[in-house]
Amino acid sequence: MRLRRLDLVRYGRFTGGCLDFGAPVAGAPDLHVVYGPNEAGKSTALNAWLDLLFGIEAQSGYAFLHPYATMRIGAEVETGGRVLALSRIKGNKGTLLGESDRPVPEAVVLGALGGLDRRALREMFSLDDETLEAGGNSILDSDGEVGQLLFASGAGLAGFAPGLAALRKTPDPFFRAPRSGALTEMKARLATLDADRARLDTDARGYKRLLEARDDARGVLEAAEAGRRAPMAALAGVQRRLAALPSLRALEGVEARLAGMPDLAAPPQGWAAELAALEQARAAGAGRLGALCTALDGLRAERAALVPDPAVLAERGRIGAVAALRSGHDEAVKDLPARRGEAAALALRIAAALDRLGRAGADPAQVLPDRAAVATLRALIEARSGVGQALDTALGEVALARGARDRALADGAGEAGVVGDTAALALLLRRVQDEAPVAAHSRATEAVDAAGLALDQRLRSLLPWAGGGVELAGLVLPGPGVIAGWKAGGAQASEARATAVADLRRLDAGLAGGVVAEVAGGVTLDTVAEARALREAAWAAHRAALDAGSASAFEAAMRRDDAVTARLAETLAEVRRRAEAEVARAVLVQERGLAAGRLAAAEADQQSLDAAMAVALSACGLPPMSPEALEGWMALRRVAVDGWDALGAARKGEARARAAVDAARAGLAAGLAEAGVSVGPDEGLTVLMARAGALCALAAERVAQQQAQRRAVAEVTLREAAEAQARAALAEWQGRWVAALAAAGMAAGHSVDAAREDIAVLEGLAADHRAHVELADRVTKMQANEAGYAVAVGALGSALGMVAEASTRLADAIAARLAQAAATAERVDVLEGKLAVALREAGAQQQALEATEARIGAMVAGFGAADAADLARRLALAAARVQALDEAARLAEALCEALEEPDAGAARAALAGLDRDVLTAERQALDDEVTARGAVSQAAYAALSEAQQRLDGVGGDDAVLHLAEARETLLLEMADEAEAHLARRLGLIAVEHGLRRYRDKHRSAMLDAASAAFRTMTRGAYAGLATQPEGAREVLVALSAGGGSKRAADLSKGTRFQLYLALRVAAYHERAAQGPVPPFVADDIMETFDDDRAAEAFAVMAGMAGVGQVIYLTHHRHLCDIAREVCPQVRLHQL
Amino acid sequence: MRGSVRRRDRCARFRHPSPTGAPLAFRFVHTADIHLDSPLKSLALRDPALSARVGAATREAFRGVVDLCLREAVDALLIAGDLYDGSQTSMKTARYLAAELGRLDAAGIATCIIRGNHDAEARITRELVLPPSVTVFGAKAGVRRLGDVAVHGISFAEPHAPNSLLPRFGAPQAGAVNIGMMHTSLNGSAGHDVYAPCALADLMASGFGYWALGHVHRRSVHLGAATVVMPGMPQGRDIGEAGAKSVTLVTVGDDGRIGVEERVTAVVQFQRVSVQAAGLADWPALVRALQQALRAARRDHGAPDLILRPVIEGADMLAWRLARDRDLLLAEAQAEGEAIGTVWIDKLEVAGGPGIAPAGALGELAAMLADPGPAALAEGAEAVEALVRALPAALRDRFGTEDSRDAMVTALMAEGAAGVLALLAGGEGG
Repeated sequence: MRLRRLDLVRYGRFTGGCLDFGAPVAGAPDLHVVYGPNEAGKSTALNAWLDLLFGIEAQSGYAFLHPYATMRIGAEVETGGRVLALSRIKGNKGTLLGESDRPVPEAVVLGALGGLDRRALREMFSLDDETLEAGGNSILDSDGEVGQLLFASGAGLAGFAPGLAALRKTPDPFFRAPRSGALTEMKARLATLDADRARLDTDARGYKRLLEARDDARGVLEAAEAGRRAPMAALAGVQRRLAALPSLRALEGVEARLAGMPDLAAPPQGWAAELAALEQARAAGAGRLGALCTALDGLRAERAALVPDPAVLAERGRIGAVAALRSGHDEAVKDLPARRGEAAALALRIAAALDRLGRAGADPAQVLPDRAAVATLRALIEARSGVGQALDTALGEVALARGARDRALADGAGEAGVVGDTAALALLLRRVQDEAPVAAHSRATEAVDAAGLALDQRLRSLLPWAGGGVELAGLVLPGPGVIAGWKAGGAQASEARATAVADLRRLDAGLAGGVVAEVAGGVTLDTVAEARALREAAWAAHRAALDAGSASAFEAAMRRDDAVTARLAETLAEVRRRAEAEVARAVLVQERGLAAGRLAAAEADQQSLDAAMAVALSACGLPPMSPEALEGWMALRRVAVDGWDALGAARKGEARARAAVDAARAGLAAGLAEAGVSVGPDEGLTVLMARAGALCALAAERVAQQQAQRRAVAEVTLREAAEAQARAALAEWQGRWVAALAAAGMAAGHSVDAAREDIAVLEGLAADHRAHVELADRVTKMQANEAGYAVAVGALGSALGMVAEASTRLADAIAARLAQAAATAERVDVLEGKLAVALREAGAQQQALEATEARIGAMVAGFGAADAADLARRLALAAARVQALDEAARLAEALCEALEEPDAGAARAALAGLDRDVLTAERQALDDEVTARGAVSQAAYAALSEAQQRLDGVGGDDAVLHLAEARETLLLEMADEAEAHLARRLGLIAVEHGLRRYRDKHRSAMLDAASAAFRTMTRGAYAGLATQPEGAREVLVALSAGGGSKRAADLSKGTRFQLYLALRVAAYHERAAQGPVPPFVADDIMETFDDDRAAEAFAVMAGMAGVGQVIYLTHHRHLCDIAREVCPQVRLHQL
Repeated sequence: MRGSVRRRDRCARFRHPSPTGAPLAFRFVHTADIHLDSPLKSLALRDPALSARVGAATREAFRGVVDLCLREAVDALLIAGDLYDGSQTSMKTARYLAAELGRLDAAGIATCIIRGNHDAEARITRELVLPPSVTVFGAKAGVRRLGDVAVHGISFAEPHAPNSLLPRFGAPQAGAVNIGMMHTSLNGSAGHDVYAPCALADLMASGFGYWALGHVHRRSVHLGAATVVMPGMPQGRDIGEAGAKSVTLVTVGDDGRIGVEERVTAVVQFQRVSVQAAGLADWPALVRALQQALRAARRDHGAPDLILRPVIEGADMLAWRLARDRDLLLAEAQAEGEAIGTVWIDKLEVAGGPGIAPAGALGELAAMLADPGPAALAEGAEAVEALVRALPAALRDRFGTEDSRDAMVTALMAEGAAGVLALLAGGEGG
C-alpha cells in the first residue's frame, strides 16, 4: 500500500490542506521528508493518516475548528496496482467513501494492511517519540519470548501459540493420567465382559469334567440299584407268603363246610327263584279276587236304588228358553214405576217451553227449527258487535282527522310572503362557519404583532449597529475563513507579543541581577609586592638573626603576605567574573534589543490586523471589535435575521387570513342576494352570517308547515274512506240477519237479544223432547217383557202337570225338578260302567290263579317233592353246596397266584409249617434294609440328574458369541480411540516443535536484520543484537563493539531509540518479504540522535523505501539537508 | 415341497443303483473356513441395532449352509477345514455345530470334515459326540464311500504343515468318482506357504474328479482334468474379508461330469467404497459424493446388510478441511446409512497425499513438519509408551514393539499434525 496524496479537507486546524507524495519513481527509493515548523500540523497529518485508515476516533481531538459533522480527510491510495480515491468522514458507519462519496467497505483498506489494526500499525509503522518507545518496550517485554508479537504478526501465524496452548489444555476425553478418561471406563467394561464370559462359558476341559462327573454319578447309581435288588426280592417273597396265609385258612374252612353237605342233584338253573315268585303270585292273586267280588255287590245295590224322571228331561229345551226371559221380566218389574214418573216430568217441561215460545199445545217436533238456521243466527249475533264497533271507530277517527286538518290549515294561513330557495346559502354559511376566517384573521394579526415585537427586541440587541430587518438581512459580513484568519493572526501576534514581553521581562531581570559589584578589599599588585618585599626582608633578617624576635617578625610578615595573596586571588577571581558578567550582559542587552524588536513587530502586526478588521467592520456599519466579539455579534444577528424572517412569514399569514375573510363575505353577500335579500356595503362578514342564518331558519320552518298540512289533508281522506267501508259492512249484516230469522221461523222484527233468548229456549226444548221420546219407548218395551214371561211359564207348568201359581215361583219349581232328574240319570250311567269293568277283572284274575297253581304242581312233581314247601327247602340246600365249591376253587387259585406256585398242592406245601409271627418279623427286617438301600439309590439318582443338567446347561446358545462380539468391538473402539488420541497428542507435539523451529528460523532472520540496522545506526559502536535467557524468558541484549552486552534499559536514550527503530526496520523488511507493506510514517523520532547517527538512520530508511514507502515528518531543517545528502533522490515537501 | 420330492427320488436312486449299474447324480455342498462363532470386527458394531442384527453372523451363515443342503436335498456337505478359529474355546460353539449337523443327519445327509490349521488348535470337538453321519478325517488319509462317490480326506495334525499333503492321499478308487478334501494355501498364495502348499498342476494330474479345498478366504475355481475349487468363506468377518461370500453347490452327473454353482451365504457383507474427491471445492459437494457412493454400493451388493468403509480418494482442495473435520464426514456417512436402513459405516478412510498445501507462513510451517525432528519424535515415543502401558494387553501389540515404534510414531505424528494445523488454521484451504 502506498499513500499518493493526503488531503486534510477539514481536519484539525486544516481547511483544504494537502500533502502530495506523487507517483513512485522507478528505481528511486520512495523516501519523503516533510518539513514543517512547530504548529505546522505534522502530528495532525500523522493522525489524519491513521484516521483515514481506521476511522475518525469517537472523541477526536481534531474537531476544534471543524465540528464532527464537517470533518473530512481525503487520500489517494495505491493498492493492488490501483489508485483509489478515498475519503473519511466522521460517523458511526459507512464513513469510508469512494468515488462520488459512495460508501465503500472498510475491507478495501484493512485488506491492504495485512491484518494490522490501529494499535499495531501505530506501534509498528506509524511512529512518533512516544509510540517508538512504548512499542519498543512492549516488543522487548512481550510475554516470555522476545518480540513474539513482532515475529508472530510479521510471520502471519499470530494466534497459533495461544491456539496451541488452548488445545494442549483441553482435557483429552480418552486418556488422562492416572486413572480417568474413557480408556479407564472401557477397561472396566472389558473386565465386566470377561467376567460375564467366565460365568457363562464352558471350555473343552470344563466340558470334559462335566462329562466325567455325569458318568461317575451314573456308576454310583447303578451300584446302589444292584445292592437293593436282593433284599427287595426277599421282601417280596415274605410279603407273598404273609399275604397267602389267610387265603389258606379260608380254603380249609370252605372245604370243611362242603364235607358236611348232602350230595343233592343240582336243580335246573333258576328254579329256586321261580318257585318263590310263583308262591308269591299265588297268594296275591287270591287276595285280589276276593276284593273284586265285594265291590261288585256294592255297585249292584246302589243301581237298584235310583228312580229316573224322563218327562222333565224331555222339556229341557223349553225350560231353558223360559229362563232366558226371566231377567227382562225382573228388570221391568223393578224399573217401570220410576221411568213412568220421569216421563211425566219431561212432558211438563216441554209444555212450559212451548208456552214460552207462544206455541202452547203444538207438536214440539214441528216447533224446533233446523240446526243450520240456528248456527247462522249465532254467527250473525257474534259478528254484530264487531261490525258496529268498526263503524264507531271509523266515525271517531274521521272527526279527529278533520279537526287536525283544520288546525294545520289555520296555522299556515297567517304567514305572508314566499321565501326563496336558501339551500345554497345554507351550504355556504356552513362552510364559512367551519372555516371561521374572522378568528383565523385575528390570530394572524396577533402573530404579526408578536413577531414585530420580537424583531424590535433582537434589533436592539445588535446596537450600536442600527437599522431595520431589510438592512440586516442584506448585510454582507466577513466570511468564517476571514474571521478565522483574523483570529489566527491575532493569536499569533498576541503569542508573539507575549513571548517577546516574557523575553524582555526575563532579560531585564537578568540585566538587573547581573550588575557587577565593585571589587571588595581593594588589594592591588602594589600591595602584594609590598607584602612580599616585607616577607622577604623579614626572612633575610630572621636567617641572619635566628632568634625569637626575628622569627616572630618573619611569621607576622609571612602571615600578612599569605593574607594579601589570598585577597589578591579573590580579587582576580572577582575581576574574571565581572568580565564574564559584562559579556553576558552585553549578550542580554543584545537579546533584549531583539526581543524589543519582536515585541514592536508583534504590536505592529496586531495594529495592522486591528486596522484591517476595523476597515472591514466599518464597511458593515460596525464599530471595531475583536473577532470573538464579532462572532458573538454575528450569532445575535443570525437570531435577529431569523426574527425578521418570522415577521415576514407572520405578515404573509395575516394577508392570507384577510383574503379568506373577504372571500367569505363576498360569497355570503352573493348568496343573500340570490335569496332576495339586499346587502349593504358596510355590513361585515359577521352581520352577513347572522342574516343568512336567520333567513335559512325561516325557510326551514316554512317547509315544515307545508309538509304538516299536506299530511293532515291526506289523513282526512283516508279516514273517510274507512268510514264508508264500515257502513257498508253493517248494511250487509242487516240483510243477512233478516234472512236468518225467517229461516229459523222467528218473527222478522226480532232483536238480537230476543233471538239469543229464543235460541236458548229452543235448545232446551230440543233436549227435553228427545229424552221424552226415548223414555216412552222404554216403558212400552218393559211392559211387554213382563207379560210375555208369565204366559210362557204358565204354559210350561201345565205341560208338566204342575200346580199353577205365581210365574216366578212356578218357574223355580220347574228348574229344581229338572236338576234332580238330570243328576239321577248321570249316576245311573256311572254305576253301570263300573259294574262292567269289575266283572271283566274278576274273570281275568281267576284265570291267572289257575295257571300259577298248575306250574307249582308241575315243579313239585318234577323234583319229586312232597309239596311246594319241600321243594323250596331242597332247592336251597343244592344252591349252598354249589357256592361252597366255587369259593374253594377261587381260594386255591388265589393261593397259587400269590405264592407263584403251579398248583394248590405245591402252594400248600410251600406254606406248610410257616409261622405268621416269624414271617412278620422277617418282613420288617427286610423292609428296613430295602428302605435304607433306596435312600442311597435316590441320592445317586439326584447326583446323576444334576450332572446331566449341568452338561445340558452348556447348550449351544449364542450368549458367549455375543459377549465375544461385544469384546471385539470394544477392543476395536479402544484401538481406534487410542489411535485418535495418539494422533492428536503427537500432532500437538509435532506442531509445537515445528512452530518453535519456525520461530527460531524467522527470529534469527529478523534478528540479523535488526542487528545490521542497529550496527549501522550506531556507526559500529554496537556489533549487533542477541537474545539471552533470563529466568523463564529470553531478553534482547545489545552487543558492544568492544565486547560485553547491555540490556535495552541500560542503553542511553538515543541508542535505545536506535534499537527500537532497528526492530521496526527489521519487522518492515520481514513483512515486505511476505507481501505488500503499508507506508512507514515517522514524526521526528530522531530528536535524540546526533547528526551522524541521524544520517545513518536516513540511510537505513532509504533501504526501507526500496521495499515500501517511507515518510518522515520533521521540523528540523538540518535533517532535510542530511536526508538529501544521504539519499539525493529523497523528495522534500513543505507543510 | 419340491425339495421333499427330490429327496425321495434321490434316496431311491442312491440306495438302489440303476439296472445298468451306472452311477447316478450325486450333489453336495462344498464349504470351508467357516470360523464358526468368530466375532465380526468392525466399529460399525458399536451400533446396538447392527450388533443385534448381525452379531452372530458366522452362525447365521452356517445355518444358511445347512438350510441350503436341506433345501437342495443334497447327498453330502463337505467342510474343507477351519470350522473354528483356534481361539474358539467355547463348548457352546461345539454344541451348536453338533445341533446343526444333527439336522443334516436327521435328513440323511452325510457330512465330511477335515481339520484345517485353525482346527488343529481347537480342542472343543474332541469332547463332543457328533452324529453318525459325520466323518472327520484324521491326519492319515481316509476314504468314505458314498455310493459311487469316494471322498478322500486328510486333516492338519498341527497348526503348520510346511509340506504338501497331496503325496499322502491314497490312489483314486476305480469305478468311483473321487473327491479329495484338502486344506491348503495352494500355489501362488503369498504369505500362506506353511499351510500345506501344493501345485495346481499336481492336483489336476491326481486322477481325482474334484478337489474340495479350503484355507484361502477368497473364492477361486479352476477347471481342467479335475475341478479344483477354493470356495472362500461363507461369511466375512472384517473389512479384510470384504466382498460377497458364498459356498459351492456341486453336481456330479450320471456321466461323471461335474457342475459347479456359487450360492451366496453371507448375512452381512463388508465392502470398501471409493469416494472420488479430486477437484471438489466445497464440503456439501463432498458430502453429496459420499452419499451417492453409499447408495451405489447398496444398489450393487445383495447381502441383507452392508458394512461399508468409505475411502475418500484424491482430495486436494478439501484435504485440509478433511484433516480437521473427518468426524463430521463420518457422521454424515452414518446418517446416510441410517437413512438407507441396511447400510452401516465401519470407519472413514482418507487416501492420498496431503492435498494442496496452503500458501504463506502456514504452508511453510506445514512443509517444516514433514520432518518432525528427533526431539519431537522422542517426545512422541514417550507419549505412545505412556498410553501403551495403560492399554489392555490385547491391544499393546497394535502400537508396535519398542523396536518398531518409530515408524508408527512418524506416521501418526504426520496425521495428527495435519489435523492440528487444520484446526489452528480454522479450515484454511477448504
